[in-house]
Amino acid sequence: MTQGTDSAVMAGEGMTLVPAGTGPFDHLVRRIRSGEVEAFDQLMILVERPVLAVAWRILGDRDLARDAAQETFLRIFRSLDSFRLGEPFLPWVHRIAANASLDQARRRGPAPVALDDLGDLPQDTHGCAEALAVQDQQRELVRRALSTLTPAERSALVLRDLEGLDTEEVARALGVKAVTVRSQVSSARSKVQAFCRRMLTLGGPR
Amino acid sequence: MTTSHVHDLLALHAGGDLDPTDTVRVEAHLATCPDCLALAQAYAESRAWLAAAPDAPFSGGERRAIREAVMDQVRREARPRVQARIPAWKPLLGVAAALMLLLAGLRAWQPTTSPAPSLAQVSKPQTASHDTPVADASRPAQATSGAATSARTGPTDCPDTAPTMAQERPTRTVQMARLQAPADSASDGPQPLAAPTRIEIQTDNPNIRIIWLAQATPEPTGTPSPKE
Repeated sequence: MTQGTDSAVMAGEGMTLVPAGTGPFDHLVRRIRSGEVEAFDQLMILVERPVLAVAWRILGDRDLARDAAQETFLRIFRSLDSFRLGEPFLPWVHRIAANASLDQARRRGPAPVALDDLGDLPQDTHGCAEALAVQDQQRELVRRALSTLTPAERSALVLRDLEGLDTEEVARALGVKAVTVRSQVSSARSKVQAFCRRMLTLGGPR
Repeated sequence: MTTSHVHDLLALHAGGDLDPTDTVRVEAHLATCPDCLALAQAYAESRAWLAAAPDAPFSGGERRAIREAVMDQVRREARPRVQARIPAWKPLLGVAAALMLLLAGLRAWQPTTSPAPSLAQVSKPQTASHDTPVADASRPAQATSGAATSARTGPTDCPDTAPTMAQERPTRTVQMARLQAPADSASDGPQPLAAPTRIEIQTDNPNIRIIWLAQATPEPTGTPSPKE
């Protein structure tokens, strides 16, 4: 992801893009650094989607994801002085979010879920918004698919395939080499593909 | 290229993570191997299924609550941050205060040049004491370190260079003239001393005292004596 992605996020939120040559988030960062603390709320609005997405997909638990997201925002605030203006902001945010989520995962100590644990999926779509129910089902399946991965595989796959970072950016975010990221992503995709194959075999919804 | 080798590369090939050389080789193999092609398609579908999954299950209200909790903490932490940003000039105050103390200390350490030696040091002719070094005022001499006047040196000057007696002489000459002049300031010039006078000047160095013995002789009357 580059500054182009940052610009897309800004435009999607209805904010005016700043002139070329400066990062879209730079003016907010400058305001916060100068003491305008309330501007940090605007910054959170711009980055809360990827922060929550990364936290939830790595942890697979709403409460833990909420705690990890809050921790991510606080780390962003405390580290703003170290952010280089003009650099892409979202990859920096992704790195903080991934590390905060992994720290949360280590504290919890999760174990991968067995591949054939596909029971108790939300099935009742009668009498309620079918679209929301389908969404819940999909989320649950994705959560179970990701739970078959190790924390390292999960974070690499989430950043690479779900957040769209390239291999080098994922490596910087996780503090590992690019060859390690490729290995983790390859292993993660194989496991997810195996989960999907199993799901089809057991007749689960897609 | 073996089938297992291609299988190992299909996961990375699905995300476009192979280098160009391997990409060409894998695609060439897929064109000839239905099993590997089916597996490559399965990888693509599972990736698409994962990417199409909805985002985190947090409503707008839940997201707002998360932000408000964070802002409460941020405001608490920001108070020291704002206060810490104010005194950018405080270090300068400290430096200025240190400089003022240093200057005050230097001024206190520097001996004053204007006051004249105490009249108590001016005495009748006495036998020169031999226990203190006496400087011969008739000849210029090098002052030892720590001599009286160091005011001529500033903080950037070499502190080890002490002013010489030649440098001190103008100050002492003024003092001598003052001593020689009687209390009557209406006189045109210094009056000849009636009796020998011993003048002692104690320098800042306690081991150095300047003793000057002076006696005026009357002007000869009549024909001037030839100079010898």
